[in-house]
Amino acid sequence: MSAPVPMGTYVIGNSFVHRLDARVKIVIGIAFAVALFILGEWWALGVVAFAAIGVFVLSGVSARLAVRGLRPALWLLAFTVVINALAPAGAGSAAPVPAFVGIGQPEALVRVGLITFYPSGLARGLFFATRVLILVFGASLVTLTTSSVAIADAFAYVLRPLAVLRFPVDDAAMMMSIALRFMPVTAEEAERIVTAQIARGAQFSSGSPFRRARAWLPVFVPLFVRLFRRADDLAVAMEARCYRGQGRTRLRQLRMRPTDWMVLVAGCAAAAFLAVYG
Amino acid sequence: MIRFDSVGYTYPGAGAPALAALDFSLAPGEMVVLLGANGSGKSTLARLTNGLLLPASGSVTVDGASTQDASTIYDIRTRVGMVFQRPDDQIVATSVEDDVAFGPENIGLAPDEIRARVDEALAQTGLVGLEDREPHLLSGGQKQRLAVAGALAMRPRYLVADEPTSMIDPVGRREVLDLLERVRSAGYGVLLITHSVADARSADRVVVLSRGESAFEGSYVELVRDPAWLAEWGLEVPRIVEFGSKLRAQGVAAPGPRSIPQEMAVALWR
Repeated sequence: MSAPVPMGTYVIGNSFVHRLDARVKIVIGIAFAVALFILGEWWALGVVAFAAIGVFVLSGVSARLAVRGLRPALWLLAFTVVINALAPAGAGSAAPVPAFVGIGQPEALVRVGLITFYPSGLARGLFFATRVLILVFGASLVTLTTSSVAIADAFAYVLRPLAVLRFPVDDAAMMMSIALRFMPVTAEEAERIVTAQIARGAQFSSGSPFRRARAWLPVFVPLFVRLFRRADDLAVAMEARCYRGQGRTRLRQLRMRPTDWMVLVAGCAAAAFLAVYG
Repeated sequence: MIRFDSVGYTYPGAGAPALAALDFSLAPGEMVVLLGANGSGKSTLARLTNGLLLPASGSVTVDGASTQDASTIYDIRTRVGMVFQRPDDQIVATSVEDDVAFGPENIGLAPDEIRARVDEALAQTGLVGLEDREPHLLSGGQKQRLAVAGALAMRPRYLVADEPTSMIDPVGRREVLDLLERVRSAGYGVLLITHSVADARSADRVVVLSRGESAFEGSYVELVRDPAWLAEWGLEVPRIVEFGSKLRAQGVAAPGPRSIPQEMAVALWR
């Protein structure tokens, strides 16, 4: 395969984390994501970070792959930190203030040329950035240790209660499965078109940003045309195999083992504790 | 028996009909190869066999049930399995075994039954050991065998393959053609649609479509007897056949048109 492995792609393994029921991983992931956005203490953030690193060590996933998942988020996070540092954290600021930031106390300002940096704002920015960093790291741990089949199955299961609200659960699960199936196919297709355009003299890595952006247009147009054709073909193939969007059964029956239940309960309890006390 | 009785079909907005008053049949246990140039109506015929398209005139019946009867359409689609041209665009699921299970899941079978059918279909198509493989990591030949497995898991009586070999390499093509022959020997009715005359060598019957009409029906040997016909229908004489007939014209005792290159080589060596 010439296409690079996209970030967060499943790495085959047989660790405790790999074997955990995908539903447990997703539910705990969501519980911790919620907890992360409620908690406001550095120590609580530290606990979550420590737990995430613990899970990473248990999973035996290579550090290179785990860190690669973080890279796209770094620019955004650096921007968050800088912007936050431009305003003091305190009453009247739009963003929620972490509890550790002393409000109302005079603070030493740092001036660089015409720009004033507020240490309290900087601390707040770092807090937000760390939070998102842990979140992205945790999410990539889930996708690195869970096959796309298991993720699609688990999502279908986790979404099932929404059927009460007339949410088309089966359709959503099918869409998710097809999206996962066609991600690598689309990546290969895009690479093929890029290569074809380079062969005709297109330049993707030189010239002004505007020129570079424009060079992508002749890639996206054929890519989308091709995707629509694929969608048509796929729909016919699905119809030929009796797909009608309802009344489906499943090959794979998901079964929770005792360890899955234990991890689920412990994980959710930990997330709840952090949300309440952290 | 799949039976076409003077079937006509015109695509919406098209001037000329894609098929005109076509009679055609396919019985279980026989392999019919349908040949034709691009635009001859081959794919239209394929899609009429299981109700993906409905005839504008005439009728298509599968074991007595009309494809126009909405109450039996899913029964017809389980009886007529289909394999399409593009390997990637007919694989739905994210692993080999899940894709084979897709059809049985759609008709609401119990998980144990699905498991049994998946295992059976993987064994029939030689894909055992690749159950958890992601489809994009398969070769072209393996992808098409997977498509066949997905069709066989429905326990059909007929298999319609619409140019299954035109997008894959020669090794994959051989794999797929061998598999289709085994499927025929196992008692399924196989309709192989192709524009490669050589693929028709092991057919029980060959039908040539030209401009939506049946231009020829007979054996492979009869078909390749006259290269002029083939050219008129936009088809090419296989090189091995041409070579053999040139040798015979020179008075050399070359094997007949059904022979493969190895047989030809061995015969000439002697």
